[in-house]
Amino acid sequence: MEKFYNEDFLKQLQRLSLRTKKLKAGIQQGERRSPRKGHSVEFADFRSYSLGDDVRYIDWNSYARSEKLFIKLFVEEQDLLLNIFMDTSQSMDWGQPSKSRLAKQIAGAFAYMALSAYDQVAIAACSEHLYSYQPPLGGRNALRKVWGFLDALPVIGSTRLSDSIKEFGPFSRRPGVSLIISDLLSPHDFKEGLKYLQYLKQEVILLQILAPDELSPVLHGDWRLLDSESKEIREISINTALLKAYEKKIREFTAETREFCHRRGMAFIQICSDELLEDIILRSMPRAGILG
Amino acid sequence: MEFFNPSAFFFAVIIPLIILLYLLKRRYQEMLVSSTYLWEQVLKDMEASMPWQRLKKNLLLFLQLLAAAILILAFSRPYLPVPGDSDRHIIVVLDCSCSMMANDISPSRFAEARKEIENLIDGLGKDDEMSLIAMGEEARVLASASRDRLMLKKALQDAQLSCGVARPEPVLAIIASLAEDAGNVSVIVFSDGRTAPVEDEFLLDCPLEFRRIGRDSDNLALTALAARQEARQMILMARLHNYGNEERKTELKLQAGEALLDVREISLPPGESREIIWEDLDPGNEAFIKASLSRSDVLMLDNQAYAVLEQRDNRRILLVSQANVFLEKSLLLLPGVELYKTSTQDYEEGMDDFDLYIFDSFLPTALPRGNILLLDPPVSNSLIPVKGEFTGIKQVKPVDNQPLLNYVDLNDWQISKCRQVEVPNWCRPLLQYQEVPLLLVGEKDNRRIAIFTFDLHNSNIPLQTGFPILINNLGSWLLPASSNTLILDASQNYFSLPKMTDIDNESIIIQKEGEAEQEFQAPFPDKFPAMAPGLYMVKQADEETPFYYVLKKLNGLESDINPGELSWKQAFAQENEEKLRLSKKEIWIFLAWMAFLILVLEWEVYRRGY
Repeated sequence: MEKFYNEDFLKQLQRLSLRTKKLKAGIQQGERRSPRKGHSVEFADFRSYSLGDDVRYIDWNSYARSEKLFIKLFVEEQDLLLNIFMDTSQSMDWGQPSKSRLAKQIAGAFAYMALSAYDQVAIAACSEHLYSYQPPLGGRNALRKVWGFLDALPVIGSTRLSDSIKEFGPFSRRPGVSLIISDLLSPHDFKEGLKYLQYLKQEVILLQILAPDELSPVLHGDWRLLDSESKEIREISINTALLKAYEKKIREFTAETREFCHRRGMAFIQICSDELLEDIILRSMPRAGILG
Repeated sequence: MEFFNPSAFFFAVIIPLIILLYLLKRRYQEMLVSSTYLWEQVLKDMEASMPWQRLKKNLLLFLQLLAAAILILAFSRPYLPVPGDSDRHIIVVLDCSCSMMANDISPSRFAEARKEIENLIDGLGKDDEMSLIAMGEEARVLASASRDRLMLKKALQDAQLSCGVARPEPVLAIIASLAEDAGNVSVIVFSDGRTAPVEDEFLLDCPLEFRRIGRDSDNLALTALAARQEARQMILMARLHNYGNEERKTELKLQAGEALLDVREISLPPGESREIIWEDLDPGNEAFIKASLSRSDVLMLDNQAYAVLEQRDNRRILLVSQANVFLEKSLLLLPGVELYKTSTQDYEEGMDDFDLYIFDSFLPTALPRGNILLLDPPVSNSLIPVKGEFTGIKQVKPVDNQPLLNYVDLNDWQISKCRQVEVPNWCRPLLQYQEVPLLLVGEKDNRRIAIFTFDLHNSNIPLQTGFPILINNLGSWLLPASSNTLILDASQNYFSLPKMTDIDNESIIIQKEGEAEQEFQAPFPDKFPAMAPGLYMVKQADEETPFYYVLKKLNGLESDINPGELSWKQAFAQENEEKLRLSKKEIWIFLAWMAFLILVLEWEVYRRGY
């Protein structure tokens, strides 16, 4: 994976971090503000002293003023769990340039960012099932392992995102951020899966990758289209009217997905596989409020 | 809009075929795609919205259907009646019959007609077409829808006069077919109006212009000349007719070879005919008599006539009978016969130089070579099986209309007793009573045979007026004339020599009377030409006397040269000024261009992929 990224890009990545809408409760101490109160230097609140509290946190100035004992609470900085769901179905291996390659680059970049911030990263490979899962790893040392896992992911099966995510349920230990990278081109519904992730207290980021030929195909005449996943054949006579209808359809599909995500408080971004990784990570993502 | 070729609308079946082609499966290229999910959605949306949307929105299909419809319309050759006299098709009919030889217009009616047609050819417009038809015994198309003036003039020069009648029916049939496809057709007939009548009904949708050629009707014609040998006497009959409007006088001259037999001054009132009979002529050894009129008139061809004299001996008849007076008397009435009688007992087999044998209630075992008339066949004979007898015949009926029974009155013919015979294959009954044959005729072993199945004495027939007529008819049939003369009518232009002629010379000479000899070398053609009317004599090269005469006659109708109106004018559309000025403008070229442009447009649509 290293070959995908140059030094400058990695340095820039270090300056970025995932923008989470809500604070997520972590397990280990990290760099990220946590909803829990802890022992960092950042003051958070007061509360009445109760027996057993650490006397070092008694605010003596308040006691001087009110003769009541108050305990100073500080924000606890904890780590964040980033779950990356990679669509590894055969449709991701299609297009020029390949969608799966860009998907792995983006996932790698996100993992780098997370691990650099002492967050934890878990990776789930989805096709018809959740066929491979990398449990959460933390620390910069885990980077090589995460990249290695991403590198080794094969392209296999068809897309059943909801089923795969539901199979992920038992592995979900705590709230976190879930990044789903897929082309979403499947007759099987993906929305249930996204809703389930929210149920698992995950902040959902949906990243749709489409090849240029999927966004605006350059075809004309009579074609027998072979579905790369289902191997089904569809005979079709493509003319300008049909192409227009297709483009309209894909716009509708995108708009509907965007609407769904917006309504459910999920982040959604559609990218084309011919876009540059730097543009996506350093410009598109911050603009969409995903990175900051 | 009307159509020259409405049958082209059958091509409209191509339109459903084009639609069918669009419904048929196409040849597809194969391609792997990430997912057909969105394509499925798109197609579902399009098909669900309207079932016929694909077909309706297919611009290529629409253009192809339009091009096909326009092409079919072009094939049907629609035309619009447009004002103007352009693109005329003039059909010129030239009368080539004998009456056009009349020289009342110098040099002849035919030459005058040709001159007028030449002027017409010179006056043809650039787009005008002309067809030339020669009208004689048959119709001949000299030129068909031609714009080439030189070719038309050459075709006109090729037109030949014939001595036949002008028959309009074949000409009308040709005009009908020529006018069927053409636009602005008009017919001009150059004739003296003397044509055969039209019996079939014709209705042509084109106007007729009749240019009458001829002024005068001054023609005195020899319409018939016939000679008959009776015993030692020759009887000659000539008939003259004055077709003119004034009384005419002429000299009628009879010649036998170089010898002048008679000259008569004859005066005939207009429209009358006269028959002249000579009974005391002696032509000597000459074979024919020529009659000629001295006075010149506008048609000279009918001013002479020929009669060939038959050089024949009397035919010999042998009557083998006990006694049959009625039969004897009737036989003696036959012209040119010699009757010999013998009894059944005296008949010998060696008697075989007779032309006709009449056996009465008797038949020898070995039949002689000549023709046979058998009366009352004996019970066992070699000719016809006799089964028994039949009595009481009160009414004799003819079997069909037989020429041998012409003028024979069968009323009151009664027969008390007759033989009941079985009709053999070679003969047929002429008279019968309730399926019982009474008179049979037929041919067997090259002889003509007639059989009365009854004895004349057992009937009242010899007393009836029809009997001698019946015997005369039978006699003519049983004693056929062996003539050396062939009569050709005006429509026959060729003759053949008789089959039995023994020609032992390498060449024969045919000479038309008054003209030069023509020599033919063996092998001889099947047919020899005889175009002009007159007498043709055929002889072997080393012999003086002709062995065969061919007399070609004129058609009597053609002697009447009085120029008149066409009797078949009503077959044509009445001349209508407005109709004449309307020409039929074809628009198929415009339609073909339109179809071509649509095809180009269709190609462009296909290329751009609309």
